[in-house]
Amino acid sequence: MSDERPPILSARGVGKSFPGVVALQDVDFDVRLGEVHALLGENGAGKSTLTRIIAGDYPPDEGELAFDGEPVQLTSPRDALDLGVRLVTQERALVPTLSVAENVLLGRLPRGRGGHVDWRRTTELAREALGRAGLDVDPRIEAGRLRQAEQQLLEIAKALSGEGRILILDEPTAALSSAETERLFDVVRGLRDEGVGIVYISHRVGELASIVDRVTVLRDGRVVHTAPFAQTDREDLVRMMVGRELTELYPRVRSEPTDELLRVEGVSHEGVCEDVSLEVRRGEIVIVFGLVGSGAIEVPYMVAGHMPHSGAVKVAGRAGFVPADRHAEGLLPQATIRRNIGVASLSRYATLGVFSRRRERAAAMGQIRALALRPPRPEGPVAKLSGGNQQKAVLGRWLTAGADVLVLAEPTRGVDIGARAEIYELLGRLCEGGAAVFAASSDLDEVVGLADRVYVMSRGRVVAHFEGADVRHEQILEAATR
Amino acid sequence: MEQMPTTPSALQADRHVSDERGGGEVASALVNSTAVRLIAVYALLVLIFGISAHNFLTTDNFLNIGRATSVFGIAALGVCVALVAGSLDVSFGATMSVCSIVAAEKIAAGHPLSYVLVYAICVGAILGAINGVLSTVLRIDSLVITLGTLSIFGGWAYLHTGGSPTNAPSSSFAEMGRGEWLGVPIQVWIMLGIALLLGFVLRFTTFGQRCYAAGDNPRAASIAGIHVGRVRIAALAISGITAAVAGMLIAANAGVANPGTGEAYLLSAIAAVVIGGTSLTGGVGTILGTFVGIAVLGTIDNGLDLLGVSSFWEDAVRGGIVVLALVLDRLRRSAT
Amino acid sequence: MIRRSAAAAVGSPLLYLTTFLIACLIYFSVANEYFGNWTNFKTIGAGAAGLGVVAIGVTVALAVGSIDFSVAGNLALCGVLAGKFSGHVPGGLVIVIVLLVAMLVGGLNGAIITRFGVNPFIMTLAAAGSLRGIAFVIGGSSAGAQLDSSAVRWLGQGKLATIPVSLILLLVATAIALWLLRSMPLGRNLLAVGGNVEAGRLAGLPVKRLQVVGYVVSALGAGLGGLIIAARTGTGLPAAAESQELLIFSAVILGGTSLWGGRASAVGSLLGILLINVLYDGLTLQQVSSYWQTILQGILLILAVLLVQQKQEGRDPVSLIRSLVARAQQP
Repeated sequence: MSDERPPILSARGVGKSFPGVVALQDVDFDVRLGEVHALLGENGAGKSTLTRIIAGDYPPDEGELAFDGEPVQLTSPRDALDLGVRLVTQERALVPTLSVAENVLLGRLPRGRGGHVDWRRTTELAREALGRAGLDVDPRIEAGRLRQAEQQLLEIAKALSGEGRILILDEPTAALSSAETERLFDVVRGLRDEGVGIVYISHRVGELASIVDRVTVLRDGRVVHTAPFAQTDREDLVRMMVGRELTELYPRVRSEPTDELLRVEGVSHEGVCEDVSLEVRRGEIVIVFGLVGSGAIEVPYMVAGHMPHSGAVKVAGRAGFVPADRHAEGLLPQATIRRNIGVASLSRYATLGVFSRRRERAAAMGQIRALALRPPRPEGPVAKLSGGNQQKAVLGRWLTAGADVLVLAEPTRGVDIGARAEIYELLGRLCEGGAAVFAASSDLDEVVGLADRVYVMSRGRVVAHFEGADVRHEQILEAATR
Repeated sequence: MEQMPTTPSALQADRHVSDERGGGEVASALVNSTAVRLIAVYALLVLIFGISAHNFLTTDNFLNIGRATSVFGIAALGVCVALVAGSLDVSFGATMSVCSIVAAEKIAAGHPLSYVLVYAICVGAILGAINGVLSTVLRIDSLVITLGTLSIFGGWAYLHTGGSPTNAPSSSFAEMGRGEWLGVPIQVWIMLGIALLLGFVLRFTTFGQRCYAAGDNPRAASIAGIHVGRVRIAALAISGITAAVAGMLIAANAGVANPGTGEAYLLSAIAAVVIGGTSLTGGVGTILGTFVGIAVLGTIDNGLDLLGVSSFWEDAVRGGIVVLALVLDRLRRSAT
Repeated sequence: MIRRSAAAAVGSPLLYLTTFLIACLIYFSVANEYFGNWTNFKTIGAGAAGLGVVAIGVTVALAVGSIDFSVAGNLALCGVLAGKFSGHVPGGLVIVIVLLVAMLVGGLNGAIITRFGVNPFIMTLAAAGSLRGIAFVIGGSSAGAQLDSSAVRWLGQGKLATIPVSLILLLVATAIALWLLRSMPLGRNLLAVGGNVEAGRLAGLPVKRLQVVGYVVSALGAGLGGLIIAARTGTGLPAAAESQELLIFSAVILGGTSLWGGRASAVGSLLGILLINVLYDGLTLQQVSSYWQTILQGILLILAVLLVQQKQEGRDPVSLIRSLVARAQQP
């Protein structure tokens, strides 16, 4: 249907290189009036580079951009904003010290008499945009006080306010619950019907079917596929993205669970969760599922001792913890891959306090091989890795240190599908090796695919428990929204 | 504060670059290390002054540079350790004054030198640890805490002495400030010794590795099982100890301790650390870099002196040279 | 409504500061007969004015995250320049020239920092040394340059309806900074970039230009401060405000402004500098060693930041004490 529509934006022969790497090569891409165009690819395939070029973040080395058929040169984000390009990035581009309302209208605060900021109008406009994005918060509070999911919705509200013609959503649902995702999809459909062109980037191939009109797949900086979504098979998409067959996303070889390694009794934290009790045995993967705000994501933090709580947590052996926010809580961003893997076992590489870099490197190298971490350079900076490989490094930290219980919050947030499969396989192998895995996740596919047992949380309480064949989408979701 | 170019996909895309390992990697790491680049800047400085001032390239002159830099240099070395662990310390100037006075008083009271050394170092360590404990327990940025303790320690130094100098009549104490060993001033030996010791601590001890992790991302370090608070308290205590040694050297040099003497070294010591490539936000930096930073500052002063530049002009020109060096370095880096 | 919430956000340090300031005023007034009168209050205010306007400029600069340690050096240079020019050109022109030079220095700082990516800490530290050096070179010696213009002297010594002109300048500067940061899009953009550079850039704000604006404003404050201080003494001293950078920054932080950008309170800085001066004056009159004032200033600084931080985390002083006790009991 959208084939007849004229393109708002078209990119022709776009190429972009960064020192030592070609990020985009001869890319043709357009966004038509009133369509949702999915842009897929693994991390590093060039999606972000392309969207940032469209958003005026940096100019292409080759090729040209045209808006409404007119060639344009974008020299700054301002130029693209003026043309109606709105970008919602994965990195939270919020000013934590300003109010929610000001964040919505950042850079274009309404002016009243004498050039003053018109605060009344600011609040009004912000309320409207927040309402459309489905974020129910007081626009006057500081943005830094919002929770992660709320911040994501605020990003979307920012993009919705004003006259946007092209909306680029980069992984908008990564931190959202399924109810919030549904809500967002409604908004996106509405915008599409108003004639807005939407570029939709997501790792969750499963969610595309309900909103996407066309799909473009990038691999290694080139377009490998552009076609109406209806004509594309889901398995083909994944294969094109990864460049190889993905036989099984979720591994299913598990040993029988034996003795109990983790016991949580009556854990509470005012306003977050109440009286959470559960246990995890050797050789099983147990996941707490809950929508955002249910308190599920916070449980691993309390279990690992990084959030105050009442109640008892008993761990037999050593617990390793992989936090949800890789950048803020997981990585040592300025350090090497070696150090990011070795940081939890530093004393092991020392003799009488004298530290051996060589031993740390040898251990890290072993872990890099076991994790298939790419590129396999222990001395490379961790900041240059893709999200998936960074996550593997954080995981590898605890495999090196030797954890009996691995505790994870959102184990694959922002991780591309190839690395995701590898991480799942790794968790499976850990269990076989006699460890226990305890995670919290808001990704229902992941929960169903990976978990041996599932605890469902709603409003801070555990409301249901499923195991074996009962671990199914509908039941879990029904319990979570009760 | 420094802005990094934000090209996330460029960074991610780097994984397509073919693996380079071994020698090539070490070499490129060397070229990218601030310390090594700074040595190039330093060599250029030496070249310029060597050509323009005919008595610059002499052993005696380099010993002069060493003598002139040792006090703020010693303080800078400790500040570097604290900063790597993520704790910017601006109180060390006041700690220098306090320890200088304490040492002079103990000397005047007739205590043996070794006792005075240990005593003053303990005072420095305690003051540094107080910074660390306050910053950790109150969860306030160490810059703010040390800004506060700078006033508190410095105010105590004045209050205690009533603003007047304290004599330190001891020949062995004076020897520490003015004496030589193998033709090299003892204070330069002390600076070199501390540099080697702290260089070893940062690079080759588990504690050093914890400092880098704590400064890089304290939350992540703590989740990885590192006691960030303890590491930072220890790092600030080290900064207090070096300040104590530097403070004693001031008193030993002059034979007298004045309140407020240490504060004068504040800016040059921090400048040396930062010029040496230590990140103000922690997690990055080396003792080697700081050492070269000290040398750069000392050599600029010395060279300008030899060229007959008046001390007023020297102040005016010094800043310009530092900035010029950094700008040139930036331009060179963006050109490659 | 937003205005109200903005006021609430910075309201707590202001509340604590005002309370403490009034308590000090009352205490010293009761304790000492020479303290509690308007003449003395005005003298204290006039005494605070020189570094006060610098603190206000620094506050605006910190809003955008532009940290400037060269203000004291710039201040000295401007005082000396005012003295040098005052014999040759009319007073009004002296003021204009000096302020232009100050802003040029700020622009240069900002341009080198944003254009070449030189670390602002080093850049402004280096500039601080250079500026003071130039002040000594131009001043010829530490005696400084005599200020021969009555118009310029009026800034530091004059009175309008019995109120010292310098104090009026401080209040006006505070009001302008308050208005800029609260109500003007420019001020809000400064705060936005200070709070998150990347967010500002993606929103199309001219990030580098705003950062340069920060350095220019702090330099302007330094220039005006230099004029006021030189005018008070009648001489532009090259050593003026030497090693007072930390006092200026203490006053600013005391007022609730963040060193890392995004939070700035002009009124807080005003109260901060006044408090420091009141303590100094009161303790001196009490025959208490002025060194106690330095110590108190340090304690106050830490306390103020602690209270602001608690407020930002949504806690009150009572729960603070409770959490401190709990933390102390932890192993």
